[in-house]
Amino acid sequence: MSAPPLEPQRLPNGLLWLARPVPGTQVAVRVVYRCGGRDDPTGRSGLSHLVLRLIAGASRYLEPGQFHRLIASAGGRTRIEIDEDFAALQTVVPAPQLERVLWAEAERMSNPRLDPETLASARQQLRQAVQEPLLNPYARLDLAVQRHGYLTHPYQRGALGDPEQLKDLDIDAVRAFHAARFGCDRALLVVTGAFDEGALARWVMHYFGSIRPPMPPSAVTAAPAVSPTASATPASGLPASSSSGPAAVPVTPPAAASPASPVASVAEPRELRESRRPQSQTLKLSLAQAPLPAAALVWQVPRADDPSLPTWQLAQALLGLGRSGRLTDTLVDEKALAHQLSLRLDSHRDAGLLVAQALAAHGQTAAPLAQALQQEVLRLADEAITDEELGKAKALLRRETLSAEWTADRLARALGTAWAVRGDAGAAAKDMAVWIKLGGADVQQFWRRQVVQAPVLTLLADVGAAAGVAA
Amino acid sequence: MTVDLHRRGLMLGAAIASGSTAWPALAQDGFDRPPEAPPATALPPLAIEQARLPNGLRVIVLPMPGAPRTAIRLIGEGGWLRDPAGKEGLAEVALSMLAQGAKRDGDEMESADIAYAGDLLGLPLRLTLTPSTCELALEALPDQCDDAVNLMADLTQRPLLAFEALEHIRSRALDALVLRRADALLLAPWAARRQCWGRAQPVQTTASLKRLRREDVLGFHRQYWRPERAVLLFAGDLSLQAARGLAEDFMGDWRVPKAPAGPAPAPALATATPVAAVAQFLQLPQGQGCRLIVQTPVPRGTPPGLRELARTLMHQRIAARLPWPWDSEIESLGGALCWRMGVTLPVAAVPEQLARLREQLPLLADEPVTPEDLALAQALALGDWQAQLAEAPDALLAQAMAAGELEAVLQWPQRVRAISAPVLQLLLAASWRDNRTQLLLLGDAGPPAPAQRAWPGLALTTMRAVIGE
Repeated sequence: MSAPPLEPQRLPNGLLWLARPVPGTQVAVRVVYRCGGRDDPTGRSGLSHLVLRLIAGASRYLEPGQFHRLIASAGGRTRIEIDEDFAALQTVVPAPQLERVLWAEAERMSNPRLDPETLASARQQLRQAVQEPLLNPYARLDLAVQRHGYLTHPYQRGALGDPEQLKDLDIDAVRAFHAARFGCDRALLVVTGAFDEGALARWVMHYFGSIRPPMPPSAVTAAPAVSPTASATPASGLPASSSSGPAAVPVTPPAAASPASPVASVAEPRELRESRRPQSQTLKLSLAQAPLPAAALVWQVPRADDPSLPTWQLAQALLGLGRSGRLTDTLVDEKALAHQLSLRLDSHRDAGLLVAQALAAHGQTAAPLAQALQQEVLRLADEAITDEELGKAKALLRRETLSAEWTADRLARALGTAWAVRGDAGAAAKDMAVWIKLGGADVQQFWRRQVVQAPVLTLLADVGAAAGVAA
Repeated sequence: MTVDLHRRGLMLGAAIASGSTAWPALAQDGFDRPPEAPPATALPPLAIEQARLPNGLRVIVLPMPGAPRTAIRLIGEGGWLRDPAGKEGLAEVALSMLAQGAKRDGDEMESADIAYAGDLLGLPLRLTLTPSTCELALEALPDQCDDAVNLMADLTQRPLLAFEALEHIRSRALDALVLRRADALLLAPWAARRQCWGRAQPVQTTASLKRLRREDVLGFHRQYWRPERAVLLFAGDLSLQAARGLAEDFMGDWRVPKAPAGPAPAPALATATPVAAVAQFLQLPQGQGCRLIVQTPVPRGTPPGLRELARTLMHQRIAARLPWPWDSEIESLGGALCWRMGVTLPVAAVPEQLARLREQLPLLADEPVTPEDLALAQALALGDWQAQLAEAPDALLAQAMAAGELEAVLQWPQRVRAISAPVLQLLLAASWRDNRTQLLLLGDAGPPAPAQRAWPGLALTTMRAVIGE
């Protein structure tokens, strides 16, 4: 990005905010809480998602559905997003409506309605959101990538959560978690689009500056405690095994906190580390609904603020971006082994994954497909990268990054996500500066070290007679 | 993986009124109502500039001063409604084959070269097939527009359309067909169209794809990629003069073929009457939920602005009454209109939601349209228009052209504001009658009996009955 560095400003109550103009007729308002699936307590997968839905649902002065009507009557759109690292609410409206949206977002942040009735409704919405992706015949492969791609990190659970783990959750536990993790001092407000800078600063101070920061623990009524997720959660503790019944909520208040304080007892999420995969591993899945075999290869990737991330991005672009990425060129067009494939880089705060995933073309099976996919990924280390190929990959990346600045909607999302995941709203501009300097030899050397020599998880999903034992 | 939970109406009515007074410690006082709504601002119509080359090629420019890149689309007439009977899938195969090989200055470009050339511009070449049109889309920096138009000219005027490419694309189309039939979300629009329009609606099958010959592709290409029927659309920071210059440089020598132009799209659809009320349940094995679709025909010639207001208002109402993330559209197939609402449901929820839907649909359609309702629908229609213009203006114009409704989309603010509540009420009340509403369940909805009790007349059907094989 070409704009000056992006440093959020802090209000006296701790809320961070930043604004960036975008030409056009609209404005976007995004509120990001740095709390996502990774922060769900053990045995309560989906609690962050549930709280996000409660915040979005109703508040002291906004009856259920009223926020939506307010935005709709302004000609706007609104959505919520849950991620492993964050929860976000985003609204886009015609520019003259900005002040009303700021009022409404401040109201949702300040006074969410957390009661048994709204909890029941949010629970139902969450269950539906979890259910919908399962309609896809390959949903279990996606779940397996997450579940087995991470070895010990809570990212294994995904962001949506497990409705079974939330069905006996009481409202006090929800309030405690909300108070601890969704306070204004843990959020970022992003405003992008066509606005007057002076008016915006006044409105932000007026509507958001007046939100009270979370009260000290001693002032809060007692409620059951929930514990943070431990970094060593075993794979066996994940939804696959816990879906048969609700998991117990372990009570492990931090030593320094009063056991009577729900805010204090929802301890600060500590540094979560992912274990290194000790050796390569192959798992077979049975996908009952899937018509074509599929395969996925998963490598571990460092955390999102690691200085090597731009090199990972450039390598991913060389292999997987565009119609001429090496994987598509070889496996879909030349060898016709794959019907479709993708290579994605899932970057998160604490750890990430590089996932190469393919559906086999008719007549192919999963194992040879996986082998060919792996060969192509590894070949990046050996087969020369021409300047032209490198330039093409950089052009694709650059366009992808710059396009985030073209609309208020996209820019708000990009800034908020970069802040929550990378810890730096201006991370994209820094990535671009690194890409410019990287040469083909740098990428290859990096690839040899980070991927060729690294253990890989292989997931094979055959269909019909070729299907193996389910993982 | 970020999960975007956006659905307009996702939260609408989803919560239940509460009398609780337990507020969190963050409560803010003195802000009990929003600031006054600003007066609605008048939006000007969209201004485009147009020209025609001597060979008939239409050049359209949507000026966007300051835009860093230019979106470019070449739009032809070979949409999937042009598929000849028995050769369904031809339009898709013919379009895909354009990217498999072409000639430039006498040299052959292979598929990899074409892909590479598109990617060099920063955004891959996109091939889009709509019911009425086929499109090539690229995006370029201002000084790369000539490369983009040059590539489009090569692909449409000098494609190889080789036998080997046909086999490759056919194989991929067959795989895509297999995938579509196993996935309720992918299958739903095709099955729904079949349910609405019967056999008049072309649907590709394994047999129809296997029947395709290279001569079919060559003939289809000649018939539907013609300069006098094509449009070259630009959205970006360039003048009509510059756009016209690019068109002349690379497409000025595109000759009008001697063969006559193709027939109107899907002639059978032009006269087809929608199938009467019918309710079908197509079970897909071992799913974990199902796709529910209700649809009703809309009178031909209903203006797009009126359609959009009706759709928007009904969407609001149904999402408030049945709190699930609904989606909705009014699809135009060669002028035949079908209004469709869909939702994905877990198995356990199907019977109850079916019963409520059956009861609520006519009631919701009959509710009077108040001035507030009209204002809400107008605001949403205008807001969506602005959002699409910001996000992908070329796509908005291309869709409008595909539907033959460019003028309406250009004049959208004025057309939408001109619609009155009684007219809107009339369209709503005429739709969603018991004798016109069709229901389709796809996937796993549990045993049929409870669903059949909830929606009497719901009959089990098969893939063969819906798709034809």
